[in-house]
Amino acid sequence: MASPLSFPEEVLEHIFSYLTLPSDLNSASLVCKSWYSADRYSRRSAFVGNCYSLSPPSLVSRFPNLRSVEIKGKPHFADFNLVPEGWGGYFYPWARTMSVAYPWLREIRLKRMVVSDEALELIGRSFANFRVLVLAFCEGFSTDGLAAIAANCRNLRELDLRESEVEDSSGHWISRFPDSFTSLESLNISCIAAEVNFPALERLVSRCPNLRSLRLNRAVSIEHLPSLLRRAPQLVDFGTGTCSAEVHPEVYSNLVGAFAGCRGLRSLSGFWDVIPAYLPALYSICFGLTTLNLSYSTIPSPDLANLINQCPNLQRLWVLDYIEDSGLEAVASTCKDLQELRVFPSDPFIHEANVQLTEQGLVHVSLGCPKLHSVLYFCRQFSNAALMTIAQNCPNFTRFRLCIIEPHTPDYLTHEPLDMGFGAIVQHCRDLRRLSLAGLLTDRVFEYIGTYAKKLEMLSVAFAGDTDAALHHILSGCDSLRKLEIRDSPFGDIALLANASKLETMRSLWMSSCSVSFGACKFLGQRMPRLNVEVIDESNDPCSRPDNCLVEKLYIYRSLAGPRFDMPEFVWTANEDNSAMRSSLALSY
Amino acid sequence: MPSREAKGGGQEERKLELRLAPPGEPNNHLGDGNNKEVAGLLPERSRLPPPPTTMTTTPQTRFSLDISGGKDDDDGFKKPLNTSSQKRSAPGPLVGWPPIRSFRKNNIAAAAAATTPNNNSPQKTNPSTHDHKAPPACENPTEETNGKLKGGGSMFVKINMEGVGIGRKVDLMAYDSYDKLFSAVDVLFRGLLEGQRDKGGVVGELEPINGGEYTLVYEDNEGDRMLLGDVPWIMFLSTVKRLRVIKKTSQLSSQCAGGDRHDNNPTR
Repeated sequence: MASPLSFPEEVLEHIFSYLTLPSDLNSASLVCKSWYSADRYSRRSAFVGNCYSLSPPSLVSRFPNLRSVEIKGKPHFADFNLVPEGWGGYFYPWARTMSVAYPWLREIRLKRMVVSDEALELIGRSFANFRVLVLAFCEGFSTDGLAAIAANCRNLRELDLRESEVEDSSGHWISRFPDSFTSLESLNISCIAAEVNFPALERLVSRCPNLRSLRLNRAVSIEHLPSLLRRAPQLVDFGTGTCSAEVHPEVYSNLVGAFAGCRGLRSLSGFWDVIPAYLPALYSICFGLTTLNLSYSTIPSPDLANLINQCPNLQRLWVLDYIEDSGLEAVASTCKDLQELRVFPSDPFIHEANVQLTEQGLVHVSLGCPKLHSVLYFCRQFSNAALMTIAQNCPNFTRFRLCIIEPHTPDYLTHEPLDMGFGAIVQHCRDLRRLSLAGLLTDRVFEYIGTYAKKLEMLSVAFAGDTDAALHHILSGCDSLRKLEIRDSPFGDIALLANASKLETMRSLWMSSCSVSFGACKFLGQRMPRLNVEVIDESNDPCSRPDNCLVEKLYIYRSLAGPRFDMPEFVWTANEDNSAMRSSLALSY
Repeated sequence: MPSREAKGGGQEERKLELRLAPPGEPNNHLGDGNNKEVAGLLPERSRLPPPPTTMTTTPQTRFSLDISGGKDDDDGFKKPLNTSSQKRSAPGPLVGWPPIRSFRKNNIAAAAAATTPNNNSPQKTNPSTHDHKAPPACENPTEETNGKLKGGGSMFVKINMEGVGIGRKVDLMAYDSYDKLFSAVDVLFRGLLEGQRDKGGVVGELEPINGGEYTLVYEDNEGDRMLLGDVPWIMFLSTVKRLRVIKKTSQLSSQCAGGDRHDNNPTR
């Protein structure tokens, strides 16, 4: 149908190539059939937030020309061992389908997926122009799989194994990069436990002039660092290995020289077990640092403060709570550009505080760092007053995650719940996208969240709330909610069923140790065909128990693919007759 | 500090009512008009923890929950934990709490081992808390503690069973002896074996896992395969990397490193 507004498809595709946001392209594809078609053929990258929300064949059939794919598997709480081993999230079916459909695929980014060596070998064989492999919090592969990548991906730019679990078969996989291979730009092997063949690593670093990011693993000791740094003075991001060897004057001066040569360094990490005496070796490059991850370093507060005082341009800081309130005061006065702060607990399993880190540290930073917008903070006490102060100081928060180590801890000053404090957070921080609650909380805080947190996309709830009203406030009030994860909170059937349709607008809902009955799950699953309602129960077959029995864990997500075929024996779907689901155990890895 | 609504605060009460509609709007249907069905078909709850307020469900077309009913803060929020006490023993370990990734937890444990009196110890560790520290999941052996470690540390290691595609994970911190570990493994894999039986797959007899057709071995930090029970439990904890349940008949062939790794990475 000719119209003044219709362009040849190639022109449309060219125009669409300037749209980068998937949401924009999604909107464009809804305008009319020719725009849908143009988008379909011109889409180059896809983000699949839940690997079970659609099947691999439907992805390749909708978008036949992808160059880059990002897929996420297990729910977030899998990070904390709440999802049993064998739950799912297998990458192989995707690899298999894409190996045929996308010979020109360049980039694969996976998060919380089970990736087998076979899948990695398939990647190596199938994609001639493969460039980027990021495996974040993945598992299921060994260094044999990495060897296959190294040996076959001639144009590899980035190999990032961000905290994945890698089975060590041999440290010689690094040697499998051919001598002619020079394209590496980024290598992150910090999660690999065993030693990597160091001479091979040195040679690799030497022959890759574009290497800008290198993160080593613990096994690389400090005296090896200077030779690596001297071979890669162009590095922008560097992660050390262990720095615990006794300080040797020669090693130390070598280190000073080597770091000084890396004028472009902006980001440092690693520093496992670092001895504070080494830290001054970094002083020459501290001024330029924008990112500093010392969250594996047991450096005491005064030494940390000394280091941080050298880093006025810091934008992102990750530390252990050894920094203490005093160290955070130093941060507040020095790091005026700070945007993100994460403070992790050094000893999370004891009740008493082992360090002087309280809510005051965060209050200081909120006061001194006007650009602060992302916080993850573990501590043992907090107060409504502190939360209100922080909220007023930092109205631009996008991510606020607080964790008080002991569940149900009230305001330590007033012994009240922290409802008002978090209420102030959501009231002042209108751009808040991610929130993790902490401490003693009643239904009241959820009413505040439902009322004010209109841009909230992800909410984490633990040991909070009193009744279903709380869950109802969230589901009915948070317009932008995509992911909701709840544990150990007394929420049940009523709020869940009353907000069933909301669940189709979200990516997923996780509830564990709550008060949802098996009957409600069955009801929801049967009534909502576009939701997968999965009950995880390792002790028993919930089908054999009465409907009013509470489920252990519940994972609900929207899906176009229907119930999945790779459920292990401890996962029941409530979508259909379960005996039919049980028998179709076609496991694919 | 503001307290909860007093009894009979009508306006407030209405705002806090749980209805099948956004707050403040008339009774719109949410979702697919299942409201009446929901009210009628909801199963009765069983064994809920007692909430501080009472919940009443009224059988009307408007499905509402009255959650007002002024309770005092003091009253409602008495939790089992006595918050005024400073020195309180840690409660039973919670799974996955605090929310810290395994990678970080294992590194904490390793760092704790590193901060002995000989090394640079940044903090004055209360000696009585040593019992609470989990031993490192890697090379450094710790001093002997009393067998069972309290405090919630966990140490998840993978365990695979020959013939069963999917491995599992066990938290070795949950046990204080080999016997308890054997029983737990027994329970864990018995279910899997029965499941395989139903599908007509390869299966062993319903014997105890250890001592019957199968035996339990582990791989240590040097990659060697060892029988369980040879070293003291604590030393086992500090060197174990993963566990395997293997058939006795194939024990010889599985002595080579990486012998039956293909079980773990099937093509399909």
